[in-house]
Amino acid sequence: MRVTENSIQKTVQDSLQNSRQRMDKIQRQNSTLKRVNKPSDDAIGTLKLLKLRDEIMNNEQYAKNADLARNFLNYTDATLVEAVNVVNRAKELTVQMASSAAQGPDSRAMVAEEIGSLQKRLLAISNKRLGERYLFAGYKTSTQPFDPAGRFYGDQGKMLVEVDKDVFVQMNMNGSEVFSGAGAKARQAGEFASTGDAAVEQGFVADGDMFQVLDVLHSALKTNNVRQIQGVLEPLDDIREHLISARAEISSRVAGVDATVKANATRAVYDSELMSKIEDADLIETVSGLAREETALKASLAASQKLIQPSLLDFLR
Amino acid sequence: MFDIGNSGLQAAKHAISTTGHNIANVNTKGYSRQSIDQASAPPVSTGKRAIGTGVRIEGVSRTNDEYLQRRIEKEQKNFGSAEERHTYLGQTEQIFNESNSDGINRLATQFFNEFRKLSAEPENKAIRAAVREASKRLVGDIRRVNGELNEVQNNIDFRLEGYVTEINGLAKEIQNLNTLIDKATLGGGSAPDLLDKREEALTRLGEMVDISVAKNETNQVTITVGGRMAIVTGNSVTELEVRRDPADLKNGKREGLVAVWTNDAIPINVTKHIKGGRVQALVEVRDVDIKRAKDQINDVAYALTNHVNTIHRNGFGINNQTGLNFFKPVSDFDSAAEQIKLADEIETDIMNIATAKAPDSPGDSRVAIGISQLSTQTGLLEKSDRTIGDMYSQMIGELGTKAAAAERGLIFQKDILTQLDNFRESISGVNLDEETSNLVRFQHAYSANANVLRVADEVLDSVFQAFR
Repeated sequence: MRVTENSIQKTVQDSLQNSRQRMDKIQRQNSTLKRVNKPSDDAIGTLKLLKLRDEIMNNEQYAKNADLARNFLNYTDATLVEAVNVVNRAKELTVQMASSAAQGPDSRAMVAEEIGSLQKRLLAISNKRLGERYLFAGYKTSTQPFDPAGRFYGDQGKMLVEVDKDVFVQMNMNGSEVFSGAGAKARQAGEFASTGDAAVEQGFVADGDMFQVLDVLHSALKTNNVRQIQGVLEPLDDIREHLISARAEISSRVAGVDATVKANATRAVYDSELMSKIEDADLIETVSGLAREETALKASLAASQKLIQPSLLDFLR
Repeated sequence: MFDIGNSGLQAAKHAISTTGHNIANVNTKGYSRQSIDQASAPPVSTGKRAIGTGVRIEGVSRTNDEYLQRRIEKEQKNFGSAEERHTYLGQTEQIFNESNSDGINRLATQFFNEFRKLSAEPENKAIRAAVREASKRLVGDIRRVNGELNEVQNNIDFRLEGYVTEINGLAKEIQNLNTLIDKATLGGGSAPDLLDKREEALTRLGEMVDISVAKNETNQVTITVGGRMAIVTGNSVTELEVRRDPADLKNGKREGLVAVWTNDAIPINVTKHIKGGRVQALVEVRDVDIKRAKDQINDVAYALTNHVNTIHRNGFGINNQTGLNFFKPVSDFDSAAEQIKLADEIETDIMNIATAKAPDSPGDSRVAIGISQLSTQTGLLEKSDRTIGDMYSQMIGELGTKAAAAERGLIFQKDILTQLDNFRESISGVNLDEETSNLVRFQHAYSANANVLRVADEVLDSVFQAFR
C-alpha cells in the first residue's frame, strides 16, 4: 500500500487524539471520583442510581418521621404515667376514706381538697401539649381538648405517620377513649352526663370516665357519702387497667416503629454500598489507567517525531 | 533529430510541471495526483526501416478509484449523521444530568418527601414553607428542562437553516462545474482538477443529505435528493429553502419548527423524504428523540398538576380554606411543562396548603398523606403505566443509552472513514518522496533531451565545418 505524507500525518493525529480522549475520560473520573458522570457513561447503572437515590432520600424521610412518631408516642406514654399516678393516689385516698368507722366528715372534707387538686392535675395532664400540639385532641390539635368539667372538644382523628413505604403508625392516642372511657363515644361535649344524673346518684359511674369518677368522688367526700365513695373504688380500678392497657398499646406501637427503623437502617447501608459500587470510580484503577495512557501518549508522540521528520529532500543535497 | 529532442524536452517539461502541480496540491482536499500520459510518436518508415520520431503527450490523467469514491461518499454521509446525532443527543443528555446536581428526579422525590414530612406535622409553618420551596424548585426545574429542550430544538433549526444554505451553495457549485467540465471535455479533452472539485463537492453534499448521482453522456451529473427531487439537472439548479409555520399569537402558538421545501414553481415539502445525512439526523433527533423527552416531561407536569390539584381541592388548609388548587391549572397536555406553576393562593399564603380532610382539624394530615402517596402510585401518567419517578428515570436511562449508542456509532463511523480515506490517499494521494524522485527523474530527462539537441547541433555543425 502506498503511504503518503497526508496519511501518515492523519494516523499520527488520530492516535494522539484517541489517546488524549481516553486520558480525558479517566481524568474526569479521577477528578470527580465518580465513574458515572453522565447517563451515557452507564445507562443501566444510571437507572439503578436514580432509583437507589430515591430510596435513600425516602428512607431518610421515613427515619425522620419515625423519630417524630416515637417522640410523640413516648411523650404520650410519660403523660399517661402521670395519669396513672393520679389514679393511684385517688385510689389510695378512696380506700382510706371508704370505711365509715375510721374517718369522720372533717377528714373527708380535707381529702376532698386533695381530690380537687388531683382533678386539676388530671385536667393539666389531659391537656398536655407537645410543642404547639395538644396530645389528646385528635385532629383538632390547636383546640384544648378538655374543659374543667371534662367535656371533650377534640375529635376521633387518627394522626397517621408514614414510617416506611405504605407503613403507617398512629402516633396519637384518642383522648376521649383514654380519659372518658369506652362509653365516651356518645358523650361529646354537649351530651355530657352531669353529676345530677340518677345513675350517678346511685353510685353507678359511667365506666372509665376519669373526670366524672373524680368528680363523683369529690362530691361524695364533701357530702360524706360513704356508699358513693365505696362505689368509686371499682371504677378507679377499671380506669387504672384502662390506662395501663393504653400504655401497652403505645409500647407496642413504639416497638413497631423501632423494628421498621432498624430494617430501614439496614437497607440504607445496603443502598449506599450499592450506590457507591455503581457510581464511584475505583481510585487505583483510574490512577493506574492514567499512568498507562500517559505512557501510550508519550510513545505515540515519540513515534510521530520519527514518522514525520524524514523526507527524500533531506538527502538530496 | 531536432524534433525528437524537442518533443522529449516538451514532455519532460510537462512532466516537471505536472509533478510541481502535484507537490503544490499536496494538502488540497480531494485532490487526485496527476500524471502525464505519454506515448512514442508514430515512426517514419523509410523503406525497410522505421525510425522513431520522439514522444507525444496524450494527456493528463488523474489516479483515482471511482468505486472507492462512491463508498467514501456513502460513509461520509453516515459519518455526518452520526456526528449530528452524537452532538445533539449529548446536549439533550446534559439537560437531564442528575449525577452531580439537583434534577427533576431528585426534586420530585424531595417534593413528595416534604409532603410526607408535612403529614407528620401539618401545623408546622416551617415545614409548610419547605413544602412550598420544594414545589417551587420542582416546577422551576420542569420549566428549565422544557425550556432547554426547546433551546436544543431551536439550535437544530438554526443548524438546518445553515445546512440548507450550504446545500444550495454546493448545488450551484456543482452546476457550475458541470458547465465547465462540459466545455473542457468538448472534443475529447480532460479536466482532472475540475473532476476532483466536483467529486469533493458531491462528497460534501452527500454528507448533508442523501443524494443519488447520475452521469450523462456529456459527463454532467444530475443530483436527486430523497430519491425524488432533482436539485441539479445538468445546467440548472432547484434550490431548497426552509419554512416554518408562523406564530399564532391569538392561540398562544409559537413559531413552528423548520421544514425543508423545494423552492420551485410547485413547492414540495421534502423534510420527510430525506433519508440520510446531517439534515435527516438533525430532523430525527428533533422530531423523535427530543419530542419524546418533551412528551415525557409534559406527562410528568400534567400528571402532577392534575392529580395533586384533585386531592388538594378536596382538602382544607389550616385557615379552613378549601377548593383551592395547589398548581395553576394547565391548558393542555402539550404545554403542561411550560405552564406548570404554583397556584397564586399557595404562593401568597402557606396556610392555604391543604392538609386536612375536614375543616378545623389542624392535626389532620390525610390530604398531605394522599399527595405524598402519589409518589408510589401508578396509572397517573397518560403515556406510561409506571409511577412518575420510575417513568422519569426510565426516560433518563433511555436517553443515556441513546447517547452512548450515538457515541459508539460516531467512533465506528470515524474508523471506517479513516480507513477509506487512507485507501484513497494510497491511491490518489500525493507522496512527496515519490514526487521528489520523479522530479529528479524528469530533470535528468530534460537535461538528456537538451543533450540530444546539443549533439544534433554539433553533428550539423561538423557537417558545416567539413564544407567550409
